[in-house]
Amino acid sequence: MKNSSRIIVIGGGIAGLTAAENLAEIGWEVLIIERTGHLGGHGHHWACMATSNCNRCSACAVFDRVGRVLAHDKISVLTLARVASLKGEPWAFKVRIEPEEVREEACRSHPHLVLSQQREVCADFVVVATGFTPYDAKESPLLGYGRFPEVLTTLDVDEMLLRNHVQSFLKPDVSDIAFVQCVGSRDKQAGRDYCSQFCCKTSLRLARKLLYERPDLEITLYYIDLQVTGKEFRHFLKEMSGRMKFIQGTPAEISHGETEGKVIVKRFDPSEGKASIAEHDRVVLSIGQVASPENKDMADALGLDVAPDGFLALSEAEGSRVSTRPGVFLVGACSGPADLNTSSMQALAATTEIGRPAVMADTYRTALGRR
Amino acid sequence: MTVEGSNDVLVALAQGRDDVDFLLPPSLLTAEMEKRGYRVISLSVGAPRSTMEALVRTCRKIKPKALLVAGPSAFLDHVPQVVILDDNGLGIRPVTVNVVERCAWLYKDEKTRLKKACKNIEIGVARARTRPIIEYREIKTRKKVLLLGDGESAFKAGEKLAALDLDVTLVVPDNINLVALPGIEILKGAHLQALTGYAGDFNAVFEQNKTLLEIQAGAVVVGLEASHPAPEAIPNLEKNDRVKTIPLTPGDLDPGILEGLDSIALILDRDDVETRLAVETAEALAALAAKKGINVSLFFRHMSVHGRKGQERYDMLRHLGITLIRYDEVPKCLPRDDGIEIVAKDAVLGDKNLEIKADILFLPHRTMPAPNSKRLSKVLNLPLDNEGFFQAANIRHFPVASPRKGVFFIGSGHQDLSSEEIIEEASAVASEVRSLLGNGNMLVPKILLEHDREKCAMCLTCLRTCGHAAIELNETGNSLEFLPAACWECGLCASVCPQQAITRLFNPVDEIKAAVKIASKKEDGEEPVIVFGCCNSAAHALELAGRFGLELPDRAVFIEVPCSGHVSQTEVLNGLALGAQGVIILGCHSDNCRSVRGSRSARGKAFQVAEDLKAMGLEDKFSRFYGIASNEPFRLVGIVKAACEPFSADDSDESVKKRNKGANAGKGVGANG
Ligand SMILES: Cc1cc2nc3c(=O)[nH]c(=O)nc-3n(C[C@H](O)[C@H](O)[C@H](O)COP(=O)(O)OP(=O)(O)OC[C@H]3O[C@@H](n4cnc5c(N)ncnc54)[C@H](O)[C@@H]3O)c2cc1C
Ligand code: SF4
Ligand code: SF4
Ligand code: SF4
Ligand code: SF4
Repeated sequence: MKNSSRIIVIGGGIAGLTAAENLAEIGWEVLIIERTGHLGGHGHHWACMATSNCNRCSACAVFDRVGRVLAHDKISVLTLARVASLKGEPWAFKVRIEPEEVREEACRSHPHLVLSQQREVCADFVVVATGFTPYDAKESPLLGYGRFPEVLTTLDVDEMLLRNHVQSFLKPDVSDIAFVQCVGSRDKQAGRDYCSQFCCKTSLRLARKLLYERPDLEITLYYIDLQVTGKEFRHFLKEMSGRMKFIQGTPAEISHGETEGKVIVKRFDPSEGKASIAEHDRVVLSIGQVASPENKDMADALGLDVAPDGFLALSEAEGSRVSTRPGVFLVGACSGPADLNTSSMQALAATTEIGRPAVMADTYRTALGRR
Repeated sequence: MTVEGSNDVLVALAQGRDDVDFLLPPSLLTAEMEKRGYRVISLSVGAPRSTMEALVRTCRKIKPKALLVAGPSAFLDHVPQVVILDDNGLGIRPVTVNVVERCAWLYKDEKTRLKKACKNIEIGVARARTRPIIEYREIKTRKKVLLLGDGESAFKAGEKLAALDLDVTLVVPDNINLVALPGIEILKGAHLQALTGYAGDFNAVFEQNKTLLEIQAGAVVVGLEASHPAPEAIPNLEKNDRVKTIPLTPGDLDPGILEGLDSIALILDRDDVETRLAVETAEALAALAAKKGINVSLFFRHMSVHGRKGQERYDMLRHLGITLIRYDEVPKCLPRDDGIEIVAKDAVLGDKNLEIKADILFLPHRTMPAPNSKRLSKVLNLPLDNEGFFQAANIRHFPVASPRKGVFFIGSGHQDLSSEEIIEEASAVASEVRSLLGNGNMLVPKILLEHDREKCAMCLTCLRTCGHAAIELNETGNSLEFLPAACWECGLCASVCPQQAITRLFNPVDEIKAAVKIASKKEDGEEPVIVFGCCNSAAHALELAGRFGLELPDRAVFIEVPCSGHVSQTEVLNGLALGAQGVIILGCHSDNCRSVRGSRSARGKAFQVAEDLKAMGLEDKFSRFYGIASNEPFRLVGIVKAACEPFSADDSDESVKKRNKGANAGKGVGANG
């Protein structure tokens, strides 16, 4: 006889955390397996985009989740751990967990969460929430990332904001910044024929934040189509329309200008029928989401399939979060580009497909009340 | 281990496995605390669960009046969520003091570490002593879910909720024709007039055929769709029957509308960027027509490629040979005898005018808030967003929840959803409702706030300020009722009551007073700076600051509060009078406050005190408010450092805004890492 019903969640980003919390709330024992040394996934590294008010990037929501998950008595966490294999079927899975070989530093605050040796655990269901990889802008050599210090990515600027270092980016001689959208996304030839979902909004929020710091900045945004979705975003775009320049069509090449410290953005201007150029002090590449390069190995280990664009494949069932293997669910950016909010919605959706646990574990919450 | 004279408070020191890493030898701390007369027990943090169990056993044996738990976040993460209940339902709520991340890790010098840890523990002990014991009871939660809706979202959610064994009553308007939905009760033509009570036990009053109807339910899901007025008429084409409207969803498409046509045109984004469902439907119509061999031109400003299938759909339009025109300026449309002529400039091709003729011009519906959203928002006591749709844009309650526990929002009345997301959202809300009601019972405090009717002037400030609908007028309308089950314990009501008629039993005024008294004591001749921090943002940021190895100035003393709005002006003034040089309140950024009005209220209070100080000529004292998020540890340290400089000009958010200099106070002030 089992004495509890357990679900294994692979990946501790916003998607995995949301699924874990919700499942634990209805009585499941949940075990989160996280490869790195800390919970929170990518969302844990994004800076706050608030100006005079919150600009709804949702990054701080990740911290709330991490706190609630760590506090939950029905959730256990193992970090620096990976899943080596998955055998069996729903209600009787056997999962082999191994310590991660390439070990980054464990979170100093939670040393007890680290997996130290190989283990096999039983699980009734598995939720995969292993997320994505940010596009490496060096793979688009013509855009000059890594060659010109004036060319950065949204990830770099995010990091500077987080560290309160944005002044080193907004030096007094910087007065003109350009954003370039869809870097790494919407590229059929490269096999990434999809929109990354979050980057239009991220660039506009960043632009707003930079303008808040330096109202005199001139900002230009080169785009293909702006993805105007979500609460109050039409409002937001309208407000920004008056404060920055929007140019349809993304540049083909970025190079050093004649003037010291400037870069030239070259794009085909069809109205002129030829290339047109513009000079900017800094260029920020709005990088997209790419399928994790390990998805292939993961799919092999877990018996899943990979879609042509490299993300993990969902089953054909409409609106379902189940993968091509029954009993294994996919949530968040591992199954295709998704922003934080969508990732948590998918996680909630997956939990409705999982019923209530067969056996409820008896834990100390019976002795303690939950506030 | 028993120590005379201090049997009332039990100090539990949780220590890690790796003492070195805690930078604060627990034995030293224990000795220091025992010297001060506290009864100290040590817990070793291994598995938090067994550590918690050990703590509970000890409490049951010793029966302390109050409990303080100090240690690293590895253990404390588990503590604030719980109350230690005895068999009679009396619960002790432990005070927690993070002496590791939020204390020891923020100071380089070992002596300072110990000093700071002791001070924090002392503040904690003082707080624990003043905490009343709170009585709990178990309440049954109802399985009934009221689902207000009139479209796809509500029907889908009904299905999902029913599948999870919840009793669903779908409340639809009169004019909706519904095929029976299995397992779902349907109530027609009823309008919600009032919603009282709390999650698990709401009382909803409906008006139906001029009679009142009461229904008790555990949760309420508002799934009313947006309204979709006809598109704005095009000049010269107001009454032209060659202009038609695109149906609302791909499912509503009737191939008959394309019968006998040679060419059609569709124009999107004329007034505003189209909703995702409108784009999806337009795309489906275009594809349907192209497959029939009809010439199709699609005009748009921004093509929506959002969603997993977005780009695929767009590519397909191209494959089908549809003319796609991206415009900057809204195309002109002219009536012709045999159709409609559209003159547009392609944003990409530039100057040349394109002239395209179509038999029929299709325009999408507009999307506006649900017709009764304003009224319903009042009834639910939940504000709309800035565009008038349901659910204020506060990420704390995204995607489907609200500040009122047990009330949820789904559908186009609150969010711009693709057809895929409609299904996902329906599942998501079902999941949320199940985790609220699925267990059949809830443990709630019997009473959290004491209301003194004698003092109360019935000004209703508290009722208006509470963001969680936890205060109601009683039946006769002459007094107030406080609902502990709905209360989030932000403390805002008590801090704004002009009559001081509300007494908090959680974090009572005495507790803050006691904390402030210790915190504002001069040390080594230096006046301290008190930092009140919201537990939902600033406290996280402080912990993160410790993990990043940032350094906090010696003078700063952090006092955690459940919401920045909890702090009243009296408490700020009190701290200043007792010797603090300044008080900083750190709350969430506007629109990010979990308790809706908390951080705005705190900003106002801090500003008011600052004005008072100016009026009194106390130029060297200060009172400031900053909005801060959990992920801003560097900025937090920057702010506190700037305030602790020997003298710094007033640079709170308020005054900075006035000077239009940006809000990053403490910008670059040593906050590097
Ligand atoms: C520069 C940039 C800025 C962004 N800004 C925003 C924004 O402002 N707002 C927004 O909504 N979204 C933003 N996003 C998108 C956001 O980061 C993602 O939507 C979100 O992180 C997806 O969450 P997730 O949980 O699915 O995946 P992740 O956050 O990637 O989490 C996956 C987790 O799984 C772990 N993992 C991976 N593989 C394994 C394995 N084999 N075994 C165990 N664990 C594993 C990872 O370590 C990680 O912790 C941004 C993205 C980028 C690149
Ligand atoms: S801008 Fe983002 S991180 Fe900052 S408060 Fe708002 S949601 Fe949180
Ligand atoms: S969200 Fe915007 S920038 Fe990102 S891939 Fe989509 S269209 Fe491009
Ligand atoms: S704010 Fe105070 S005085 Fe006014 S109604 Fe509430 S309790 Fe009474
Ligand atoms: S403490 Fe907060 S949630 Fe509770 S009644 Fe007062 S204002 Fe409302």
